[in-house]
Amino acid sequence: MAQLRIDPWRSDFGSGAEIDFEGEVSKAVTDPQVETADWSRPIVPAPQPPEAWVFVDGVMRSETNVMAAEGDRRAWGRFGSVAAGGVRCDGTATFVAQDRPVRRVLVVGSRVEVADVTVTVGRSDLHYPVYPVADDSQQGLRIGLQRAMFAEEQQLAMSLIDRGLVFVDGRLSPDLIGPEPIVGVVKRMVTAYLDGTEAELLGRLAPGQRTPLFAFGSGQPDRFAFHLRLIPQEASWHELAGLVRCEVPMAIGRDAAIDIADRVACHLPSFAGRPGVDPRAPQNLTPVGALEARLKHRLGSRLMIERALKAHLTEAIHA
Amino acid sequence: MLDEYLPTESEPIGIVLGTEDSTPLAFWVGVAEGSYLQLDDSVLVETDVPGRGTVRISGLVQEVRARHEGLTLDSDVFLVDRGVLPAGIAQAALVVATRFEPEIYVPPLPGQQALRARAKDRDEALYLDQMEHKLGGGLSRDGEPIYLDLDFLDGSRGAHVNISGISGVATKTTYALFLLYSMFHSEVLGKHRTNTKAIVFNVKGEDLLHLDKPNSKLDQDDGRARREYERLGLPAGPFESVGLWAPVSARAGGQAIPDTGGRKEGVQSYYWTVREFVREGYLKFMFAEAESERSQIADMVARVEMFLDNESEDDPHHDACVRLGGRTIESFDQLVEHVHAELDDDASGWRGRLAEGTVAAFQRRLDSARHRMGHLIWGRQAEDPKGHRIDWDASQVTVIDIHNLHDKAKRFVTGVVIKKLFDHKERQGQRLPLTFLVLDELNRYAPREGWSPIKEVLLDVAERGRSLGMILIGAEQTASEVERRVISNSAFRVVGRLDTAEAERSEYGFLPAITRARASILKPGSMILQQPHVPIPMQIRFPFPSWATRHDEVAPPSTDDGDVFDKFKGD
Repeated sequence: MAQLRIDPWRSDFGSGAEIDFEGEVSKAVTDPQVETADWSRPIVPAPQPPEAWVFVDGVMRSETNVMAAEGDRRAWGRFGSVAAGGVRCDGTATFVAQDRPVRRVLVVGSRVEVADVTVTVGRSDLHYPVYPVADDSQQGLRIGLQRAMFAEEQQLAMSLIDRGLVFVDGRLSPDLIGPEPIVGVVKRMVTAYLDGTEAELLGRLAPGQRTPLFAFGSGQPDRFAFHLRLIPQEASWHELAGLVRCEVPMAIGRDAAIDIADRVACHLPSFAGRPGVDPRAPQNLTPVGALEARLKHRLGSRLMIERALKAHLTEAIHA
Repeated sequence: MLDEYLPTESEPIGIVLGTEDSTPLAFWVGVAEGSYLQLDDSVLVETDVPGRGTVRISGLVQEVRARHEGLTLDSDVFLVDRGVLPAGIAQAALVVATRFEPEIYVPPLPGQQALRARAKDRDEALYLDQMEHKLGGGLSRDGEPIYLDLDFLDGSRGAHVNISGISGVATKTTYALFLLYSMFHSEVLGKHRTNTKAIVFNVKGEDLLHLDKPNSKLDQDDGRARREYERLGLPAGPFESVGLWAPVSARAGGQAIPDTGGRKEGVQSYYWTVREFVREGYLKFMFAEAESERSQIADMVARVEMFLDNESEDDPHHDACVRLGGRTIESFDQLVEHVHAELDDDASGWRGRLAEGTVAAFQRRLDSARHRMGHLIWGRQAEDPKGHRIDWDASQVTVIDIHNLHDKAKRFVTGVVIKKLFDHKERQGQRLPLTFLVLDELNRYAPREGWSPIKEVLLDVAERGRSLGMILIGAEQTASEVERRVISNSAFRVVGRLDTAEAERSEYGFLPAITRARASILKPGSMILQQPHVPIPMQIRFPFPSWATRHDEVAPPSTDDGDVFDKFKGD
């Protein structure tokens, strides 16, 4: 009989590992041997000196959905807000880029022409420039808003390069694949890039240890990646629980990538999210969790904004 | 800390919070980064009221809090400490409004700027601008002067001060003396300064027998105390005009030597004569312990007093003596014996219809008191009764030492002096110049329960002293044990360090909960002052005494008695 093992995430947030056991291993992997051919045991990096790290993250929120009507043409749209911020940890954790404004967008299907919208909430004017998307399905609108958020994140990440090693949430987007050393931290394992001996090693990792680097990319390999475990494995957990995948651009070079991998494997576990506190612990890192809460707060009162939009649009109809 | 420099303009300190309710009487101010607000700071917010113009809301900081924002768990603080969890620190201060100008009771609005009130803005917050006669009462915790409104002390609008606090740390007597010092060494009394008098009872140690000497320790702490006096507009020195009186020694063999320990020089001894005792009715003060109001002893005492006065004649040969039943009473012992004889004589009318038990109790107590205080009543041996009668007109501050006396004698002296003083003021028939009476251990002299002749006099002072210009500066460990009317007639309530349980009693209802808690951690020299003008009590401190309060603080006499310029000659 099969044994049952727990995934530590709170179930309404999905699961930390969602790979398709029936599906094929991604062929995007080109080289699991860029660092070593020996995947029989984890790499245990030597202790690394402390350093300054900057965690960058973004949040998004849909305010209200709309239909744009122009003559007999129709398109779906969505008012949304996005914000990006950072936490710099150098022995002290501090929010950075706190004065960065929240960005508002009106994502709308490109087949109609819509004007920017400005509404007044209390003493602030919120400006919603039009962000046209070709696909105005619900999924398309969501992706549109997400793009706006990624753009914010990327812009911020690039501006913080000189403040320490920058970590972004999730996969490295193509815009971040450059010569700058930026680390993408992927919380949720959706695609399996390893199999056989390589995949087996994941279950045997302990905190502070990592897999050897492997190179992959869609089409062309453009990044190095490695897995590491953030907190000690609990007996009831499945073997993929508590793992993150980190990515660095291939353009920084193999040696630099190995160096970063060692530093990350050594220090990242101390930023692990706390089970019982964060529903996506340990993968949702503690500074990132705090940052998300902060940024969500900065988006402002959803109720007030929704009300102001309604009032504004009603007024526009009567005008 | 005493800043050398006091800003003369109010400075922005933060913004009125919107996450806590802002009400007219209390509101929260977010403290800006790089700024601070501490308890008792004065705060000013200006708010625009539609159609009514600007309202200035002043208040005092009553609570300040700091917290990590955005964190939910207590253990988060450790992650913040380790540099893993980012968190902002927010400080906010609760301001209790003291004043609205004009009087439109509106709350300040979230987002409005809050200023730390300085100079005239601060005076406004504390109503100092409305005080015509300002008596320096100490310094606020930020080092600015705090004043008492003399109008509420001198009887014109109120009178009396009551000070509570634990013995030893509450510095009650020192504060009472500081108030006297401030009054007598500033211009606040105007033309009545010279004629205003104070009578102070020295109940413990010889603390108050050095008031006329400068304090040699004044210059410790880098002369800070001097700067504090300067800030209050006061000189730093001893009391200028002091009369020291101590009881005559019991075993001096007819010599009127003051019974003091450390200090003899400049101390005058006091006693009363048998004739005064009889004529002024001092007998009651031998029975001054509180007792049930139904007790018949008081009737007995009144009766005997009356008979003594009626049946005696002045002795033509000696003005300290009387004649009773045809014989000269030459000593207090003879007087007491005469009383006994009359009471034991069934044919005598002295005992009237009072029960045997009452008479016996009276006699028992008469004897026990007589051994304790008899040495203070002189007959024929009194050579100069006038010279040993406490003369409170001779000096501005008259210290009457009773610390060495037995409890019964203490009560006797206190009772006699206060009664005489009160009668004197009553005869004078005018409020000014004022007479101040400083009395510690009020719980002993005006206890809440029972009746005593001193309590009666003190009640008279508390209730009628205001119009007579006799002002009581009373002190006690526990206000809850003092007659309510004595306390409630005090315009100023001052509290030093209080016992926690005592602070919870209703007598301290004027202290908000936070202030009560503070009262249990007050250091010597810090007091909480409640005055009629200011709606909430304030913590203040007063400068280190510039007069000696102990023998070892007496500055050694200068060594160069002669030419004061001598010391410069070598230069």
